[in-house]
Amino acid sequence: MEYQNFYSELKKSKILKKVKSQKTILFNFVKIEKRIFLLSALISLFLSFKIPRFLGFFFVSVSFFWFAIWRELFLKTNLKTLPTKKEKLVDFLGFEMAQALFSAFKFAKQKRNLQVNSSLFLYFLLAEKEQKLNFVFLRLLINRNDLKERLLKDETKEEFLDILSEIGEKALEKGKTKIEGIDALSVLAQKNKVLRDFLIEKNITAEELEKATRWAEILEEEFLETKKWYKYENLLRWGTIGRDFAVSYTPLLDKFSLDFLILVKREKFKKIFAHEEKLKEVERILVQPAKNDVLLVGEAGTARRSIIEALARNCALGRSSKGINFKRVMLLDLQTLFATCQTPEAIENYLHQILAEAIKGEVILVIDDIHKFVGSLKEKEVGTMEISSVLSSFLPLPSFRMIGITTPAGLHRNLETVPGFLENFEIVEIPSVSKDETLQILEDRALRLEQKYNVFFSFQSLFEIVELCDKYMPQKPFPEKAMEILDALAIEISKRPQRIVFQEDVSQMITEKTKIPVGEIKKAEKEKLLNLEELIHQRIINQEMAVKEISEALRRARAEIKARKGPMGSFLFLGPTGVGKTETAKALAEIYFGSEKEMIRLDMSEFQNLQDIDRLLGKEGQEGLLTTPVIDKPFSLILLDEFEKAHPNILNLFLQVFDEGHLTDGTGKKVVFKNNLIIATSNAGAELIFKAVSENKNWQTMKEGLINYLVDNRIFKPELLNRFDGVILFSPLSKENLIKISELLLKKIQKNLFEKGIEFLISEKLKEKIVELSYDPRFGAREMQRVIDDTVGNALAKALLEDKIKRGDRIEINPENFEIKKI
Amino acid sequence: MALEIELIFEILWWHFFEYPKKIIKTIKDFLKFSFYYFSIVDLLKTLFAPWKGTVWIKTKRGFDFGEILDVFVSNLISRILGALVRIFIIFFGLIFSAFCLILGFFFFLFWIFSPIIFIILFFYGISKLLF
Repeated sequence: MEYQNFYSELKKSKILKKVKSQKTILFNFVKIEKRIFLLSALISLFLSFKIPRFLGFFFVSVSFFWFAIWRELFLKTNLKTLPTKKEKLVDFLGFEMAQALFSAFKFAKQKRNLQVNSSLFLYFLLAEKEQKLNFVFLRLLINRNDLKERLLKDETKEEFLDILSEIGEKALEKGKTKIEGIDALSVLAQKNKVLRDFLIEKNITAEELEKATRWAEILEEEFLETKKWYKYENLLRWGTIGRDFAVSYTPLLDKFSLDFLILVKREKFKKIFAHEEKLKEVERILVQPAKNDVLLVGEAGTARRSIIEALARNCALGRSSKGINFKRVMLLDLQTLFATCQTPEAIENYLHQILAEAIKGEVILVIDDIHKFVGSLKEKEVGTMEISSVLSSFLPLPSFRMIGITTPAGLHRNLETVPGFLENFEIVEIPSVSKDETLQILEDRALRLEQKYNVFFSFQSLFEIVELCDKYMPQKPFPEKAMEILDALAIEISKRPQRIVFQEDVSQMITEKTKIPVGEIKKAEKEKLLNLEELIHQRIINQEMAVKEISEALRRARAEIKARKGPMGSFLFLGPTGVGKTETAKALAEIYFGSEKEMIRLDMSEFQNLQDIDRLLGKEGQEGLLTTPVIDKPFSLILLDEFEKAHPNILNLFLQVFDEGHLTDGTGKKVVFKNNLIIATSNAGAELIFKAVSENKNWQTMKEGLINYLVDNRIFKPELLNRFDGVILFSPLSKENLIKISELLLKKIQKNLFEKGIEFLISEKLKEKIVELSYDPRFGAREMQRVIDDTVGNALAKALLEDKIKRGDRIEINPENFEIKKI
Repeated sequence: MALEIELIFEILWWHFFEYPKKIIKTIKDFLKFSFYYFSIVDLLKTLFAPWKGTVWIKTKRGFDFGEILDVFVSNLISRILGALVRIFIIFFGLIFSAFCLILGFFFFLFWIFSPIIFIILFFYGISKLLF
């Protein structure tokens, strides 16, 4: 009954009447009529010069042309506007919605026993070709015909009117006055099984759909706004010519500054999507009666200047606060001023005049990188000068408004050294732009890049840029990093025959930039991960347990089993010297990170004093031995040798690294360890291991005993040990293990000789001799390389130099006297 | 049939009431804009302010009638020059506003009578064709 009621309500509704009116002969062909009569008017006017009778035809054509325009105006300004009286659900329906609903109900009625369900409704909605829906489907790379086919086959019975009410509620919740097809889409993506499955198949998430929908709505809003050029708000874009005659002239200021209005005009007064809240804060401070100067503090790349551009836009369009509307926003170019003037006195004099002009000219003055000109400047730095004293005499004046831009480091290092100057400002901290705002910035930028490079960005690709940049480029701020990737993609894809940017292109680009394997795990990498144990064992003898634990942790990290804050893995390798702890780390760096060069190695015994923190984390003018390489190589292995020897406070620093995955370096910069594998090694308690092995103790008991020993002797705090993903024990090497290691090392020599065309045969006796010479339980295999170099290495080098062996020879080494024997 | 009748009423309401309202609003917007574009209000407020903000100040110590006269005359000239230029701009602004008003008024009239104009044009054309 309710179903029938709704249908009759719909049929009687004003909106449907409007929809039907549009379809009448009076309005249906209005566009084509307009063109035909314009053409006939022009032709007849031309012909009337030769045949005067055609003038009559011209007048008739003009009258019909005007009639067509008149009807088109009625269509746009009356028929396309919705009824204002709204009581029932039908009163809130947009045109396409009403039409689609009507068509669906009519179709169901014709088919007799059929009831409208959400699939049938969506089918007719897609047929309506609503512009915003078109845009969403196009950007999500969805073929609507594929979907339509499936929708028509769906005969699910459901409470369709409940779904319709939900669509309405969602639209009104968003503050809309009408329900459009695009509002239906996000609800149907959850409620309609066909659409839901279709989206899953296309790998489109609900969030992506929602954000793509928002993009379409913002674009339409912008388009409609610019179309109404005759409105006062839009006419303001022309600026003013009389104002220069009303306010004072600012010749010096004009010479040494850039008017932001020029930039804003060039961008056609486009909306700027960044730091909207911060912009409001800046506007509020600028209109304060006192302390109305702003200091923007944020890292470079956080779109600090976009706040200024947005301010200039709002001021020019009269959309800012009353006290600053229609004021000019100008960026003072101090570098040029300093370069032009000969003496400091001249600079001071000029600056004084410029600041006075800024007051008279009603200008909001902007100084970028203000820390370069205030506070303790580096001695004799070219092209700079201390200007805080000149500025300080103007800053307290209510009619003088200034915005300084600086970085957190600049604030602490320079500005805070002049407290009298700093107290004139209200500080506004600018964080990295949020992910959502970055997405909007990318959407806006993508449209411009598309025109420039003739490429097409799918929505998924933009979404992926934000997600991957957030995950894999944590050192750089948003939006800069995302914009860099977007620009690089536009250039890259423009070289290809098919110019569509897909999700995969983004992960490829991120991999290229960061060297981190992102995106779908590729076949080769999968194989590497699955055979990690085997690959490590090609270099490491024994240590089965250790290798297994590390391999499992790496597989978990790469498969992203759980969201983690800390580094991708952190391990403490415990064991005596020379059992393969460092070698395992090197092997991992080579296998997983591509090369041993991707390893950041620190000998922690060099950090035994508290003062060494500066060397580790860096400070102004000094690179950090830990932080700088991590910034340079965000995807790498960090090896902390002799971990226990570092100062306890330095060890405490790693608590945060293991927990949160980041720390702040000596210059205030956040250094992120999320894509690093951290391995700390220690031989503390090695005697215990030797003892336990000789007593043939159980491995687990031995591990527990060792950990207790480390805690009881205060070598490591329990909270530090607990934060490692794994404490891994390396057992001492047996003689058999050492023989295998000697074989591995000798094989390296064999390989080198093979490249020279010499075949080197490794005998069992030689291996045993090497082990015999180098064996010392306290040093494991550490001595072995030296022994091999001293014996085999020296003998071979001498023989090669004396030309005793040459290409094509087969040789063997006598284990007793290490003489070379040709065979 | 009911739909057509309703539509006719709607068209009449739109043509003679709704759309003219819009035209008047647009004329108002243009007038407001012309005042903004030529900064007429600001110029009136600063009508006698010195030209280019240039002012002369007495520099010598003590009473110097010659200098006082010099400063006074210079400032007077600067202000007169400023006022002249501003009056000139205001004058242009007012002409532009009047132009907007007149053009808007004519468009308004044209709109109201456009159905008649359209019919006249049509029949005039037919008569030209036939005779």
